[in-house]
Amino acid sequence: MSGLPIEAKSFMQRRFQVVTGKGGVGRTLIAASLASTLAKLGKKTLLLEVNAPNHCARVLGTEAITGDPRLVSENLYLCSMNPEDALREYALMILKFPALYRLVFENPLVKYFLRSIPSLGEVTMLGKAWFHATQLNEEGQKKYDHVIVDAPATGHALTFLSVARVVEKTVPKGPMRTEAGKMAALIEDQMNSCAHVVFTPEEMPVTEGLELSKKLQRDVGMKLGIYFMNKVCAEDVADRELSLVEKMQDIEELHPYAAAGFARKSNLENQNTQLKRLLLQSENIVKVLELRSVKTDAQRVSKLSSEWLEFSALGGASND
Amino acid sequence: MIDSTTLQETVHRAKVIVCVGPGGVGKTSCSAAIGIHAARQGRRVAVLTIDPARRLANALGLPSIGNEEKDIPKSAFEKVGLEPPRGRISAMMLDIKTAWDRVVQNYHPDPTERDRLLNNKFYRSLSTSLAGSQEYMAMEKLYELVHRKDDPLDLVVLDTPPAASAVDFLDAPSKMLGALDNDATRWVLNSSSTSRGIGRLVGISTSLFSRTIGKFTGTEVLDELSVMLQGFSGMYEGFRERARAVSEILGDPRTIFLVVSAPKAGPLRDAEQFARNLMSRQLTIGAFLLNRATYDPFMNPNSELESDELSEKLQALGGSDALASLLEREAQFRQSQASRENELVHKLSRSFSGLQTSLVPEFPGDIHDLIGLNLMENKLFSASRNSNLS
Repeated sequence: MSGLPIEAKSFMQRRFQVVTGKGGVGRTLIAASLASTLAKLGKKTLLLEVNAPNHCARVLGTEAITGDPRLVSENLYLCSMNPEDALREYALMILKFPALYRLVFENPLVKYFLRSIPSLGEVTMLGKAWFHATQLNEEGQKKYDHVIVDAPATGHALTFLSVARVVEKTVPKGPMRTEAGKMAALIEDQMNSCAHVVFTPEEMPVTEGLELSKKLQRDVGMKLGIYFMNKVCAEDVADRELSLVEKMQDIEELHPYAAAGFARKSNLENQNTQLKRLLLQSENIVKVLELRSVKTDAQRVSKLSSEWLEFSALGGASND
Repeated sequence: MIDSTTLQETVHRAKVIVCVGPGGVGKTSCSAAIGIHAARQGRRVAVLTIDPARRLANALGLPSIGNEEKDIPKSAFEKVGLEPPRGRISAMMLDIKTAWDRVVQNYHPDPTERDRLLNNKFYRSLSTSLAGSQEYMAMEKLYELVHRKDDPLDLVVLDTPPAASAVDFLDAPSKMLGALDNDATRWVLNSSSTSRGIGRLVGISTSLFSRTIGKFTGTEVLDELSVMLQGFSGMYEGFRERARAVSEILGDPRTIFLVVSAPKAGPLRDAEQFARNLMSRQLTIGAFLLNRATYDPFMNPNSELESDELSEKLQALGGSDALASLLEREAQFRQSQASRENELVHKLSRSFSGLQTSLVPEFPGDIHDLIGLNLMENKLFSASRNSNLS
């Protein structure tokens, strides 16, 4: 990798960043690495996970954290959100009296009723993200410099991110609509928020990710950030000789190596095709190499964030 | 649980197959390949995806599919040099908005009330963009397909969204029943002012309740919601009937759940959780399908060459030492990957003894057309014949 595109660096330093993409492409790895990079830059950074318990904690090699965000390493805060906790927190924040909360919200019938309001869980989780993104500390300054959201995959990400606007349009005047309006404004902030999309160099993740990107801009109204191409296989000079695999198949003893070579060759070809497709759509592409020698995700995050940190320092990117 | 029968037999006796599992493991391709396999056996098959991302069209090589069912024409197979199936296969994707409107149009008894409902703001967002809605609708669609009288189906293959929400899908019928049989809902329907109604019902003073909930959502929200719920009244009995019927479909021994995953630590953990969840609901699990297993180049013992030997043989073909070392590294990497995967899969099949575990080998490129699906079908069904680990 020869450095990061300049614009990509500035996207990496936005206040509110959402990471999404097709299932299984490595969204959590990217989100955690982004958060670690910012934390290493000395910025107070909160990594928020949406309803996927423990993925982030596992990748960071820490314990699961729900409710209040907790510091997991220098400048890095973590919290895993789920609809039930978010609803309770949100209600308590507004009501201020735990006893009142218990009386009303923990009544089994009321619980049932609330559960039947569609999307209430999504609204409260988004509300929590908004709360932390705008939360102030004792000095009256923003408590977190950056909030990174490890969002769900494609369809659920779109539902999650557009829920504020939907509520705002649907619900009659009242506190819920007001809150939803603020959340929507955060999502749609073209200057300070953005959505990154993660891909792997395969047909389907690219097709789905590109479709998702279109909808993020058109339907959600979010500024598109970086296209992360994950699991990129680094090319070796010897890869140019892989055309020999055909000949190798005639020699029985070479069969295992021909098989490995053939698999590698077709992976590389496919990878290049998919990279070209991304290049047609965006200039802000960040490639993430498949690190074969690295065994754990925590090591991957640490390696990736050091790499990004180096590039952002080299480029002299400012802190704001 | 099903004992070690082959996947072929499992699919053969199934009337409904539900593919569940985490994201990114090839659930949609598996669903489609299973559908094609059954059609090759001469059956009439429909593949339904409720995944919000429109993947199935891509996997089936169709330009687009909508709420309407579309046949995969025999010519589509012939065009790419494949033998078309003896039976018939069609595919469809759930379009939530259209599906909701159709349910309301088909089942609402009162035309005036029906139109009022179709125009209600709450209903409109419920039917387009609110979460959980697609699970309700998938349930309706499954019911419709299984109970269809004209052009009856021998097999319905259902592709579900990734892990967290597939559980929602399973819960959809009971949630629907719960919500409809719920005292609070009934009270909302019978009460002129919702918030006061519930307050009285749950034994909290009326004003306290409306003040509290009002702070939370605004009292108007509850009133608007009750207008929508009232709009649905008259349809409740039908909802309830179909929800019950779907519970029955899901619990039927000829409804088979296939847990699709990949032989990697994370996806396997998810798959395990899923299987336990299904078992606790007394649902029938057919097999674990572990997709994209790494091919071990040294499957035949003693096929590994010494480095010098490899270099020599490659040199004879005009290859450099760099190529020799690249191929050696690549082959060893794949071997260690494959053995790690095998270990993980053995662990899984030990903790679910008696349940079939099929490793489906990877193949170059990924699947996005009929040729790929055909290959997948071959691998899937030969894998289950050869590598029954249980």
